[in-house]
Amino acid sequence: MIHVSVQVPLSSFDLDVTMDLDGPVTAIFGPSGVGKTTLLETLAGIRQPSEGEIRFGDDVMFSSSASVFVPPERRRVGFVPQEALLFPHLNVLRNIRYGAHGDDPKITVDSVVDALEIGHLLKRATGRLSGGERQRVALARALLTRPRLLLLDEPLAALDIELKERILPYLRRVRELYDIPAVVVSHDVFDVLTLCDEVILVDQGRIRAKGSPEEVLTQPGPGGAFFRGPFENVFDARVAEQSPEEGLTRVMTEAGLELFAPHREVPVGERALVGILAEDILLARTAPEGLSARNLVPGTIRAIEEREGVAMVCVDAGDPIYVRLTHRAVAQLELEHGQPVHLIIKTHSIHWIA
Amino acid sequence: MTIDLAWLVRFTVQIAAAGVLITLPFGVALGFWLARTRRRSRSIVETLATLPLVLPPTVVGLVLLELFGRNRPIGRFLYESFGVSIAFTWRAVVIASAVVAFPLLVRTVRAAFEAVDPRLEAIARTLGRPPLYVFFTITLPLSARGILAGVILGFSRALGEFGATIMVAGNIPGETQTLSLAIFQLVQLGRDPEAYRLAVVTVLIAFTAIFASERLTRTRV
Repeated sequence: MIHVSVQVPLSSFDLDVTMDLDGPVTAIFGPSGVGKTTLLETLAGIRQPSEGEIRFGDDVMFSSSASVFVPPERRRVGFVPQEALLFPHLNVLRNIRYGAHGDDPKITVDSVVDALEIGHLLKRATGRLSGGERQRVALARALLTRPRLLLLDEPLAALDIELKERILPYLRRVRELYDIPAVVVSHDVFDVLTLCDEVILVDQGRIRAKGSPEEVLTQPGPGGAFFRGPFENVFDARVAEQSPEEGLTRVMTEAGLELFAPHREVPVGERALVGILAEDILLARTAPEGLSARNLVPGTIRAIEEREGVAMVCVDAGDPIYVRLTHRAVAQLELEHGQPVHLIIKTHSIHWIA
Repeated sequence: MTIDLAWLVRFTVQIAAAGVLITLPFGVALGFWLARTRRRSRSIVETLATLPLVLPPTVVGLVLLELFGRNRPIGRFLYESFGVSIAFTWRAVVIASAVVAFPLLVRTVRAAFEAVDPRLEAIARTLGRPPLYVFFTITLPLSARGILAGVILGFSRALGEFGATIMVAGNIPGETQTLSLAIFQLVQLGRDPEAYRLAVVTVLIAFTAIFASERLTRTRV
């Protein structure tokens, strides 16, 4: 068990948290810029809190009252930062071996390289890796130090990583193979639900909720409102085309998702923040014809989560789109992970936020 | 006075190289400290380290003479304990070279260290490696080009050193006379053609060094 009670002054607010992580895999969940990364850095020993105590089991890592500060090299934590931060002057093999030490028959270079499928990359320079490959190499490098705790900073959020390269399946494999407790910083509901045993919701430097993913994410408040109550998909897009005579404004996200929204007098190229409620979206297995709805969006099912008869289906259509269905609909349509589907969205189900 | 060109070139290059090599460990240590510290004293230290660059070399020479003259604290100690004279020997030339090369070395080295992402060092420590190991395996390799450029820059400055050297080491042919000192003496003696010959040699050496330094800093890793 990991006990943390720390205060860290930050520029706009103070991080002030007290928590026990029971794990084995804990998610620190919350919007960006609320101190989640800072929290990981204090656990890793890269940043020193102004006050408080950090214990890994019975070992005190930091204590302001006892003047204890165990430096990062003696904490045995495997830190995987958001940008991977591979050593640019070393190739992949020398990167992952940098901190390798000790003899653990389970965690060997071969085993880690196999599990993360990086065998073909070992001789490569780090500059010639894709975003997903960089993350896997960073994870391998951390694992080979035989850490007592893994710290993963937004491993699932890096923008330059394509869907097929996502690290989530590898994280699950690592969890099964090596059984190392982990703290994962994330703001993606599905990742948290599928990978973590407990969730700690952080906002503005404070802990807002702690519990099982189901408890925390279904509570009202910043993390909840997911299975109950309205859930809104929000898209940060730009106006691509105006046709006032048809009453339509075409908007497009950076990822290429295209939507026809009700006409609004906004110049082409301007930012458009639009929202669609998860329950306002229809889902079809084959492309329907002769529809009145202006938006027929093809996509692939990325995840299905069900609670109390309600299912949230995450469809990858360039951007992730969450669709709320009944349990019965999921069963009858025989929906499953990886299946191609079509989303039907009425123009007037899309509303302008800004 | 006869000019032994080969001896002069060898002596000058050796002196400049020795001067830079002596300052290298100090320059690297101070450059790293300046690049990473957040202390207020940073600006004061930085200013002090830059001083030899902007002070008249004669002032630098005067200070060195105050320290290393045979009747001065350090000079007397070295002479009485080890029988080593500094002032007006080749050793004084090396010290003068070191002092004037130091600011250029420190500034270049500091910039090279600042270009290394400190988060890489932090990550290396979480991987179980202590600070000194991290410095030699991460920081130093990533800033090697910049450090080498600083060495060459300091070396070039030491090559042309004149004012401080003549103050603390004099201008003794065959003993403390470098290329620049020889040129000065030849001009005073009215032997201009010989002075020009040495000037051309000096330009060639300096050009080669600076050109190499430019190439090192421009080429990407």
